[in-house]
Amino acid sequence: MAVRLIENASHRGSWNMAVDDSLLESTADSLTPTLRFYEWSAPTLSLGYFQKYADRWSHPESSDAACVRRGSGGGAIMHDQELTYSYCVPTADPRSTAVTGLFDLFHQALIRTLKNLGVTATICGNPHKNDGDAPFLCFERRSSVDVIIDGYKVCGSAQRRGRGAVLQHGSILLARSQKAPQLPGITDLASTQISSNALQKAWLQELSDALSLNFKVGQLTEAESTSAVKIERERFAAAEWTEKK
Amino acid sequence: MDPSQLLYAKTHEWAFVEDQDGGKVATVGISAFAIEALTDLVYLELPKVGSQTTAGQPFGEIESVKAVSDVYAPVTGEVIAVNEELPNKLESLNDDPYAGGWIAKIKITDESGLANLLDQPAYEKQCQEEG
Repeated sequence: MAVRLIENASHRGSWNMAVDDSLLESTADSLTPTLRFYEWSAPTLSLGYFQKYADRWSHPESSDAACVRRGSGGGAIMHDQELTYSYCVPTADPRSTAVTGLFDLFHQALIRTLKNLGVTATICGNPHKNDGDAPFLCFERRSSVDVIIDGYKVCGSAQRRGRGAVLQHGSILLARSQKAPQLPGITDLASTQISSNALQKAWLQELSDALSLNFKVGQLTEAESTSAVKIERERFAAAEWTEKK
Repeated sequence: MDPSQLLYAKTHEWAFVEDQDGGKVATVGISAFAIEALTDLVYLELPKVGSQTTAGQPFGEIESVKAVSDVYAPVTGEVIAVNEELPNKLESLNDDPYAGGWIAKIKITDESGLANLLDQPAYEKQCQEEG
């Protein structure tokens, strides 16, 4: 199956989230999957869809960072020293049916990629269940599909499941951010420098093998760009959306 | 409720339709097939009593294992009751999706959409095709 590959430069958080939602909507009609890699032009805290906005003040290190509310679930992420991906796939693809199946495909491919780059990472497996509230930061939470190095989570993903398509996006923590100093990245844990570009290129090859997909570099269509502008204005750049819970 | 007596939307919601006060009221929820695919549920946002629903349009949201999904209204009408305990007892959706896991009761204002709902054999066939 052919997959459009969009390799973007850094963008503001509200635009990044708007493009992902625009792709979720267009994929339901086009039935063409899209894989997108992107970074963040400024350190940005993203809240999981159901998280309370006021909870961001429980994490003082990120209190001066920009903030967006994702459409996907999970905990808050401090997007700074990371590579971010999104994958939109039609629900007609049977691999999209089970929530954890799609997480597993991407995360297992990442583990093989890191191994090829000399870094040992594993799947979390069955985490110890915490009886209390889940930690505010996603990377301090554990789910069975997370990617772990020496007990620290270095990759987590989340989904928004729409009518006819699924959006999965996730973060690979490359290095510790000053705005989330409690979270070491791959560079800190493995004592090796892996650039965002090198990781992206190597992971793409593994994903191609895992998903049996042929990636073809493309861009947003005009309709997707127009839709993303509207989505950003109405949702991700709007305080009513960010602070709605 | 007996799953064989329910109607199902292609988006995996169920509806039990009964006559009430000269009209029709649907008790609605999420099918066991969909609950199993979603796995561990962590949040549910219910519709508001008094809100209007349109068949096939979102009327609630649910999160499981970091995945947020819309819950679609299987019928068009007005929400007249919601299962207020459910967001704090999400295990009911797993344990008893067709009784304790009901989400809302909707007074149907347009019955034309009922013809688009599936009976159990047709819905099970769809689920088998989805894998």
